[in-house]
Amino acid sequence: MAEGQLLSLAQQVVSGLSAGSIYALLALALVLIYQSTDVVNFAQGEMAMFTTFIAYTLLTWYGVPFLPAVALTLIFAFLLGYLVERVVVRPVEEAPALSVVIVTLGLYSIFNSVAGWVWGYVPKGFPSPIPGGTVRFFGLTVGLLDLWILGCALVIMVLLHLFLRRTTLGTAMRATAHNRTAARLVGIPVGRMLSLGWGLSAALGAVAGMLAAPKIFLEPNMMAGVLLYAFAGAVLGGLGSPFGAIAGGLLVGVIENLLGALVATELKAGLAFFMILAVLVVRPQGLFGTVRRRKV
Amino acid sequence: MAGRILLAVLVICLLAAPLFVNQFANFVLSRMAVYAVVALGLNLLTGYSGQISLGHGAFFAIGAYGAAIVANRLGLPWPLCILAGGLAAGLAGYLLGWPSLRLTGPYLAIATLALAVAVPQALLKFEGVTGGVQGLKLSQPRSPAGLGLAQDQWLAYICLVTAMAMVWLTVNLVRSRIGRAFIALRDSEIAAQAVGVSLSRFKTLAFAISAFYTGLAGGLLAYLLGYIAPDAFTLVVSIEFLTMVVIGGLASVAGSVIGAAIIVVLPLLGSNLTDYLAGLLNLVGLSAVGATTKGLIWAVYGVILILVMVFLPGGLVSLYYKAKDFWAGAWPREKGVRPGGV
Repeated sequence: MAEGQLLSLAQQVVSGLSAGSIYALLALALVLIYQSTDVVNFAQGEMAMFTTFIAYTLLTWYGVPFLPAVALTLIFAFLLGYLVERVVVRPVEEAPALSVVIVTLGLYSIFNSVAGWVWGYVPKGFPSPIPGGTVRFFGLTVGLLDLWILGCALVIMVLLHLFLRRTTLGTAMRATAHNRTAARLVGIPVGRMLSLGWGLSAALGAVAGMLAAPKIFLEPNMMAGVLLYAFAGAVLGGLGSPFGAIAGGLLVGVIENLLGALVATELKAGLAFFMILAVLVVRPQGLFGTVRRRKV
Repeated sequence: MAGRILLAVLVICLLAAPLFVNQFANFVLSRMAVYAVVALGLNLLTGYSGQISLGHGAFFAIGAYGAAIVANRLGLPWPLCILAGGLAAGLAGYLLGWPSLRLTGPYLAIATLALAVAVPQALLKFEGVTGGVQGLKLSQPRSPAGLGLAQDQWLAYICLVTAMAMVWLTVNLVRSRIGRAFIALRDSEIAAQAVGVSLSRFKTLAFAISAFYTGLAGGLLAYLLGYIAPDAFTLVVSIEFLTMVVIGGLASVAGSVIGAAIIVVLPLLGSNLTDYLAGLLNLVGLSAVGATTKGLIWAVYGVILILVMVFLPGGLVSLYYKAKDFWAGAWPREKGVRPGGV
């Protein structure tokens, strides 16, 4: 009996990891944009949803094969992010943080309602390159799709880490986020870095959306539930660390699932709230972040 | 002097209006008054104290449910119930104020966003108290026999008079020691603390007062509708609140009222506009079968939010101040060094 309970608990953890991998992916996109532009993008989830709809349209309306459709979507997402930064975010760059938050909220409303308007609110299935079966490990049932999502998240995390830490471009982007004036003084094209940061993060969001869509179905509000947990994950792991985003996202997924199973499903959002609050109060830099010192 | 006369005329017109307009117009007028109270509260926090909140929908819900629960369980007269709603929300705001001392900018936005999502779900969960999906009913206040007002007229008066009292209160509050402390903390926490303004006391106070206003408005709404349910307090409501403050003008009492009026009227005009836009989209063949104009008003809100932030960061009232060449100090927009070409 005890063993059976342990097994069902372990199964809950596994399901939690599967939900958490989606939070982790979106949290990664949030971290990328924060690392490269010092902005928290509230429209991240909606941009991911919007670009996933583009992929859906290419696949089902125009019959484009899967891989070219993904590639086209990524290009579209990159351009979308790039343009959004250049046209909408740049003018408020020097304004207080409040203005930027409000602008990203405006983008949130626009993407959400335009998607609902163009594609409607009926949830749609999204094709997946991975079959829907399950595999069994030590008596635990694990979805192939979940393994695929988790694997992609880990690969992207490593790539992102290498990009931000080991390449000149990544370093330039971090420098831009850290201190714009100093970055400008050493010859970094600050404006281009900011646009690039938004473009890359939108492309990453598109990946997150396309990976998540077979699992949570495609509809304009698909990211409403995910974004909050992605925020919780990003904050938990530290907004400054790709590894933290993954770990935080997975952790949030596991905690959420366990709580849902043991206490009550309706309190999940409350849990996210308390988790965000507790982490921010006790350890504002997150579990894996480093303190960023500011001169006053 | 001219300003005072204008204000007096406006007040008299507003007070006379419920007697002459139809039921629907009275409802719209009442909603404007309710939203104006929220806008004043949110503006105290966001405009005057510089603290962003995406969670005011939660305080609105706490106020509405607080009033309804007190009314149904204790059977107190309606003014006390509305006040109870305000106080409940104020307490919640005060409690949120403490952790918020450590949060700035986007982090505060994230935390309050989580609150806005959490509260409606909690309302669903604690069915015994909140009625779950069904929501709560409460009986609307009846006009005193001597006045002979219809139900909608009496409700409109309750909302209008409350809103006017709150406007008066806010104008005085921002000029008081407390208001000056809010503004000082917004402009520079370090400088304000250096001259003896207590950061913890005034920040928590800003949250408490702001939430109190919003809860009061929630109580008013509960009586205005006579029925409340969790789906009236989604995240969308919180964004709506922020939109009206930004459109009207941050750190401006007049701006709060103007923003509230616009956000109430806009959806009424909106259905025509969005139908028109949908027609346009159909024309170029972009629209899918079964596409709907439902919710397109949110795209309009989004565009307005961005346009205002980019071109008119002081909101609509700043047009007036600009015209008067009296722009300094209302919401100082930091103009950093901005070398071209990068």
